[in-house]
Amino acid sequence: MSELTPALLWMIPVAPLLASVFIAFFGKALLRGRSHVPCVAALAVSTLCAGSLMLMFLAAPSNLKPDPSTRSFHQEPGDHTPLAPPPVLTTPGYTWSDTANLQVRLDLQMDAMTAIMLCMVTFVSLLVSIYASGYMHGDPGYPRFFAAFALFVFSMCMLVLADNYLTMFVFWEGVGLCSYLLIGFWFQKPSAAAAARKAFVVNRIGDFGFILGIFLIWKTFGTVKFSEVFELIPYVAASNPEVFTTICLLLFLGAMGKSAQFPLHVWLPDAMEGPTPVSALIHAATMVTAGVYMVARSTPLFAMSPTAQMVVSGIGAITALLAALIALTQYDLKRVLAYSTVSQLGYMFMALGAASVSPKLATFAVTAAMFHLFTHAFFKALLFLGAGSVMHSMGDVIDMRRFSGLRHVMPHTRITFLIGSLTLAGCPLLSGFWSKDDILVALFEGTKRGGHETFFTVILGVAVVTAFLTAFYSFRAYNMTFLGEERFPEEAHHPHESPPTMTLPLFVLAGFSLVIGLFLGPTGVYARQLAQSTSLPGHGDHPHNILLMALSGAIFFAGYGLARWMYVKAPAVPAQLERGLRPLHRLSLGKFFLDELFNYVLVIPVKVLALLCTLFDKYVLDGLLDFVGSIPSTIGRIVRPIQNGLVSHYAWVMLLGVVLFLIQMLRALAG
Amino acid sequence: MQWLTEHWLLVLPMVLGAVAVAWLMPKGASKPSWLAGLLGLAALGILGGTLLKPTDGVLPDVLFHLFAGVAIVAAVLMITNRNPAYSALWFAVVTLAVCGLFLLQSAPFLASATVIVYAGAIIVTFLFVLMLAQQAGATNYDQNSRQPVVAVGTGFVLLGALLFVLLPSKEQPDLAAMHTGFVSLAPEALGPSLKKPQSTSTTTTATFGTMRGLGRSLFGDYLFAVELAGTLLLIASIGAIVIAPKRSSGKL
Amino acid sequence: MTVLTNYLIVGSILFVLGAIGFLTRRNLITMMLSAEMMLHGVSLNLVAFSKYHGNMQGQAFTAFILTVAACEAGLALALILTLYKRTKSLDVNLWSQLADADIDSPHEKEPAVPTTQPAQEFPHLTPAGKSPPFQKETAHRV
Repeated sequence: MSELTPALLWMIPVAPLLASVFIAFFGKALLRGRSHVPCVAALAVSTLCAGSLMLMFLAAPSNLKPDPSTRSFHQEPGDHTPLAPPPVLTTPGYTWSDTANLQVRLDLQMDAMTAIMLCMVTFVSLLVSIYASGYMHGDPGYPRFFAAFALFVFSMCMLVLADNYLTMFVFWEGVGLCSYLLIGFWFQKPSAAAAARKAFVVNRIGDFGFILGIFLIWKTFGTVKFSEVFELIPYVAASNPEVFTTICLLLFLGAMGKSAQFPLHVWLPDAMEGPTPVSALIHAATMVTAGVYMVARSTPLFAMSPTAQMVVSGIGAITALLAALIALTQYDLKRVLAYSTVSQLGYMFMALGAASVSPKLATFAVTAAMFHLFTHAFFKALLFLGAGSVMHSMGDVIDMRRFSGLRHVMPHTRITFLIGSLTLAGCPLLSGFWSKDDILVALFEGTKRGGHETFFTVILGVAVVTAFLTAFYSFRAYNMTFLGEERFPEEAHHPHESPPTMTLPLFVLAGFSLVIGLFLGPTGVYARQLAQSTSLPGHGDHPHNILLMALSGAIFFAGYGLARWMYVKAPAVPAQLERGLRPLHRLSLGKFFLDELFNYVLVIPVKVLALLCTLFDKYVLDGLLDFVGSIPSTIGRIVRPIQNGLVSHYAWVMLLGVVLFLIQMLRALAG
Repeated sequence: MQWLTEHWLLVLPMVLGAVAVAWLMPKGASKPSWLAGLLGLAALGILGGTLLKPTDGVLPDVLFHLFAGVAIVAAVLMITNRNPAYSALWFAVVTLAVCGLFLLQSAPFLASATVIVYAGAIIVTFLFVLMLAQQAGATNYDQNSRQPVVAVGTGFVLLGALLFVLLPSKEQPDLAAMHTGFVSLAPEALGPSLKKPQSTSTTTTATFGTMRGLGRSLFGDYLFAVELAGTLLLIASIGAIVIAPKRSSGKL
Repeated sequence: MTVLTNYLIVGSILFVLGAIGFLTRRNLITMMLSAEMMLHGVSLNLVAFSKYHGNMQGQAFTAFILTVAACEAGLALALILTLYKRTKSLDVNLWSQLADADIDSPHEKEPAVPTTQPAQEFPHLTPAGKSPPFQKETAHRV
C-alpha cells in the first residue's frame, strides 16, 4: 500500500466539497455559464481516485491493512479454521465529539462495499454532471445547481465512507438537505416548493426512527462505530437478544424514508418536480439507495433478528407491487420512472430480507440486493437522462399522451432509452436480468428452507408478478414515446436531437447497462469482491437456478409482447380496458389514493391542531401576556398625574416627606 | 383621643391657626377676612399666653412679645395677600420685626445688616421686578393659590411636630431621658436643667454680642469661609448679568 | 423654659409660614419672598443659639446666610426676568414642562379671575431712555 492511499481516499469527498464551496462563492460573479467546470473536474478527480482504489482492492486485497476487530464476527462459533480478515482501509481524521461516554471520530473507512458504492456514485455523478451542463444550460440558477450538485456528491461519498452510525447519520441528513435544495431548485414553482417540503417532512419521519435506532445502539453497545458494534454483538445477544428487533426496525424506518418504501414512498414521485439530472442522480441512482446500503451495512445486526428481516422483505414486496401497479397507468414519463424506482428499491429490500433464510445464504442475499442496486443505478440513470432528453426536445412537456413516434427525431435518445428499457425489463443477458435473477433465486431459496416457507412463497410470487409488470410498463412507456405516429406538442418549437454533452453520457451509460451485468454477475467477480466487506459473514452458499432464469426470461418476453400488442398493434385496446376496468384503472391512476388518505388522516388533523394552537396562542396566551403587560401601565396611568411638572407640587411632596419622617421619629422616641 | 386631651393646648392653636391661614389664602372670590383674623389672633394668643413663659425680665419680655407677634402676623399677611406688592411690604415688616428680635439676642450688627440687605436691597429689587412685570394689575394667578388646604395642613402638621418637641409637657423628663440614645438631637436644647457649654477661644463673655466679637469670629475662625462667600457674591453677580435677558429691542 | 425656646418657636413658626407661602402662591416673586422668610426663621434660630451658647458662631453663620440670600435674590431675579420674557407672566404654573404632554395642566382647571373685582392699578416704571408719553394707555407695555 503506497503512502498516497490516504490522500486518494480523502480526495474522493474533498474534491466535490471544494468545488461546491468554490462555485457557491464565485459562481454567480465569476463563473456564470462555466459553473459546471469545477464540478465536472472535481467529479473526474473523485472518479479517478475511486477507480484507482478499487483497482488496488482488486489487485492485492491482502496488502491492505487487516482490521483485527472484525475477526470475531467472521469466525463463526465452532469454526476454528482461521479466516483471512477482510481488507479494510481506514484513514484517521479528527475527533469530532469527545464526551465522557461517547467518542466520535471522523475517520474514513473503506471496505469492499464502500469501494463499490464509491465507484458507482462518482462515476454516475460524473456522467450526470456532464449531461446537466447541457441540460441546464441557460438556467438563471446555473451556479446554484452545480454547487448543490457537488455538495450532494460530497455528502454521499462521506455517507458511504463513514465508519460509524453517527457520522453516517450526519451525511444522511446532508444528502437529504441537497435533495431538498435540488427538488426545490425551481422554487418559483409552487408545486416544486411543495414537493421539496413534502420530501423533507416525509424523510423526517424516517430519520426520526434512524436517530432513535442510533441512540438505542449507543445505549446497548456503548459505541456507534460499525466494527465495535459488530464485535460486541455476541455479548449483547447473550444478555439481551430482544433489543435487536427494536434496533433493526428503527434503522429500517430510516431506510424506508430515504429509500421511499411504503408507506413513506409518497415523496419520491413528487420529487420529479426537480430538474431531470437531479431525478436521475439523486432520486434514482444514488441517494435513494442509501437506505439499502445502510441495511446492507447493518447486516450483522439484522442477522440477529429474523423478525426484522421479514418485515424488511414484506415492506419491500408491498412497495414493489404497489409501485409497479401505479406505474401501469401513469402518463407522466418521469413519474412512470419514479414509480419504477420505488418498485426496484422494494425489490432490493425483498432480497435483503431473504438474508434471514439461513446464515449461509446471508451473503448471497445481500450481494443480490447490492448487485441490483449497482446495475439499477446505471440503467435508471440512463432512463431518466433519456426522459430528460425527450423533455428537453419537447419543450418541457413530459405527458406521454401529447407526443409519440419520436424515433426519427431523436434516434440517439431512442436507442439508448430502448437499451435502458430492456435492462429494466430484465431482457436476458443484460445487466438487469442478472441482478433480478439473483434476487429471485435468493427468494426461491427462502421457499425451500429457513422455516418461513409460506411467507417467502408469497414474496416470490409478488416478485414474479412485479417482474412481469415491470417489463410491461417499461415498454408501455417506450412504445408510447418513441413508436406510433409522429406527434409533437405545440410547446416544442423545433423538435431536435439533444446536444452531444447530453447524448454522450447516454451512450456511456447504455454501454455499461449492456455489459456490466454479464461481466460482473455470472462471473462471480462482484460477489467475490463484495464478500470481503466487513459487514458480511464471508463466503457462503451461491445457489443457481436455471429454471428460474428461464422463467425470468419468459416473463420478460410476455411483458414485452403484451406491451407491444397493446400499444403498437392494437392501439384501441388500452382505452377499452380502461373502460372495462374503470375502478381498478382509477385506483392505479390515483396512486391508490395514498396521498389523499394521508391528507385526511394526517395532514388535516395536524392542521386543525395547528389552528387550535394558533387560536389558543392568540387569545389565551396573548391575552394573558397583554393582561400582565397592562398591569404596570395601568398603575402608571394611576400614579402618573403626580408628576405634573409643577415645582411647588414637588416642594410639597418634599415637605410631606419631612413631616412624615419627623412624626415617625417622634413616635419612635416616645415609644 | 387620650393624646389629644393631654395635648389640647398644643393642638388647639395649631387647628385654629391652620383654619385661619387656609381661610385667608386667596382662592376665587374674596371672603370676609375678619373672622379668620380673629381665629388667628386667638391661636396666637393661646400659644403666646399659655405656653410661653419668659423669665428674662419685664422689658425684654414685652419687647419679645411685641416683635414676635408683629413678625408672625405680618408673615401671615404676607403669604395671604392678593397683591404681591403688598406682600413685599409685609415682608419688610417681618424683616424689621425679626431684626428687633436680633437686637434682643445681642446681635446688633446682624440686625442692621439684615435691615440694609433685605429691606434696603432685596425688597426694593423685588418691587422693581414686580413693577416691570405686572403693570396690568391683578392677575389670575395671584387671586388663586394652589391647593391651599393641603399645603396649610401639611405645614401646620410640621409646625405641630416641631412645637411638640420644643414645648414643655408632662412627658418631658421621659423624653429627655430617651434622647440620650438619639445622637443628633442634643438634650441640651430641651430644658433649663442642662448645662451651658464652654465658650470658644476667640469669644469671651466680655466681647460677646459686640461688633468686635463678631469681627474676630468672622475674620479669625471663619476667614476662609468669608473669602469663599465673597467669591460667591462675585460669581452670583456675574451670573445674574449673564442670565438676565438682553435688551435687544430697547424694551425689557 | 428659657428665652431660647421662645425664639426657637418663633423661628419655626416663621419657617413653616414661609413654607406654606412657597407651596401655595403662584407668583414667582411671592414665592421668592416666602423662601426668604424661611431663611429668616433659620437665622433667628442661629442667633438664639448663639446667645444661648455664649459664642459668636451662630451669628457668623447668620452673616453667611445673609450673603447667600443676597446672591440667591440676585440670581433668582435674573431667572425670573428670563422666564417672564418667555411667557409674559409670573405664573409658576405655566412652567410644567417636566410633566407628560397628556397630563392635564393644573392651571386650566383654576377658576377665572372674578370679574366683579375691579382691576387694581399698579405703579409702573417707564422704560429707560425714553421720555414718558402723554397718553397713559400707550405707556403700558403690550
